[in-house]
Amino acid sequence: MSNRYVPIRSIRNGSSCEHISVSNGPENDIIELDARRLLCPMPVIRLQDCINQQPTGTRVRITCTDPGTLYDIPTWCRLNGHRVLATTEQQDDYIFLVHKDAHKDADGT
Amino acid sequence: MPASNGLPTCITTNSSSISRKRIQQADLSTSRVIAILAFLKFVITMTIKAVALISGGLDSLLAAKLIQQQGIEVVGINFFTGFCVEGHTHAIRNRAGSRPKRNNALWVAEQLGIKLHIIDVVEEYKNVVINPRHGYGANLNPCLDCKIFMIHKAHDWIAEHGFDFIITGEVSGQRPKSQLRRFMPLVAAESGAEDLLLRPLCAKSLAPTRPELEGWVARDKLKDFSGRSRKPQMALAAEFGFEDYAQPAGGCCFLTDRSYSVKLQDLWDNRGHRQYELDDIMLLKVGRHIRPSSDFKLIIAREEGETRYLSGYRRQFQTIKTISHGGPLALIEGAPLDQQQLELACAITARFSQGRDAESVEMEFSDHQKTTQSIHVKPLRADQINPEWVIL
Repeated sequence: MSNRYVPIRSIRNGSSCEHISVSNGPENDIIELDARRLLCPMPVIRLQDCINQQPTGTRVRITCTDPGTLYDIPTWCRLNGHRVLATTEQQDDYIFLVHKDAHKDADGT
Repeated sequence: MPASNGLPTCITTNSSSISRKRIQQADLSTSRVIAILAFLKFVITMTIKAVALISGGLDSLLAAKLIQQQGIEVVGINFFTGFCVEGHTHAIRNRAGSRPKRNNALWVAEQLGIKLHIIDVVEEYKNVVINPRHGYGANLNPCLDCKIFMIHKAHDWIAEHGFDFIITGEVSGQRPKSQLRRFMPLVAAESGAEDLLLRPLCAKSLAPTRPELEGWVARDKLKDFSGRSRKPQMALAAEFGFEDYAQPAGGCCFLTDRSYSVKLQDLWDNRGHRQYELDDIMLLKVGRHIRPSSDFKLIIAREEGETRYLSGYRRQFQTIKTISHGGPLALIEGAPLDQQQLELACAITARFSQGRDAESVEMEFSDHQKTTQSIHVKPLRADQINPEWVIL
């Protein structure tokens, strides 16, 4: 299994969300997003921008430290037609596994 | 027996029957036409789409709801400038606080059952903050330019995504500058949205917009709210069954806050230019900002949540940590400190520790290379902290 790092637009000045890693393996691709230290709404924006570029069926695991993401991430997913497969709390981290579902984009986005 | 008009009854009777039949046929035709027109209107409005600027406040919620009720498909859009108040302070401080930790724009979208696009405009917004054409409000708030900017962005968005018009929750006279009635046409014009900008909460007191003139929305179902009072909005919210909404208008942007604006101005003055990065404006929301000299500034955490947040910046800044007593973490913004400056920085930081009254407090200094050094200082007394050092 190899990890592929895809540079994305970095946040600025040392924030920890600087790249996406994609695991190519038998468990299907899971894109890892590190959104620790990012405050609302940045974790949602990162997830949104990532998911919008991916095909249906993609899974994204995003790690956050903002407790507001416990509401924000599932709500954004619900409103935009995606699913949170799992939510985990580990020490100060909140980890969400999100699945991009197929849905009709009424607004073309 | 002849009828009163002189014609034989059978003829009169037949004429009446024919007339009644014709009237019935005419009624049926009219009903069909009305039904067809209603159906066409329904079809037209179902294909009309609007984007609502959702700030997360009550007004944008109500404005979008009013249009939704008229059968228009509504999608939400929210612009992140970096200066938002909601969410940040709750996320940084008091993790166990009772106030709901949520993005209010998402909450509004959930109440409406609409999609919400949150768009990062931090970079583009810099020019609005640094060079507002219409100047600032009471603090460093460029509200009029901000409004124009956001509606301009929304206008670009609807053109790109095939939407028909824009909704905002503006109320004439609600805010001291950006929502003055005389500026509303200016906002519509300078943003480029022109008559595609609809303000449902006060539309009836403004000139009709294209959605109204085209019949996409019924003007008589819109509102004519005005002024500073929040009562009309709160009554409408109750009518719709909305509760637990974010506290109404104002206070959603740090740039309207005097303390924040003073710190931002200090940042610009000290650097000699007005450029900033997202981390700069985030750090202005946190901690005590104390500038003992033009060479450096301390950002001292005020409680555990802020210490935790500032810890994330340890790699970028020189830092001071209290070792011998409970105490805050402090970031040092500026050039590397000489020994005298370092001791002063430690003595100031120790002032805000639990060892403030002790003869000696051990502090740990970490430089840019992350080399650490233990320093023992006597904490400054409150009266030894020059008020001019304190940036509010």
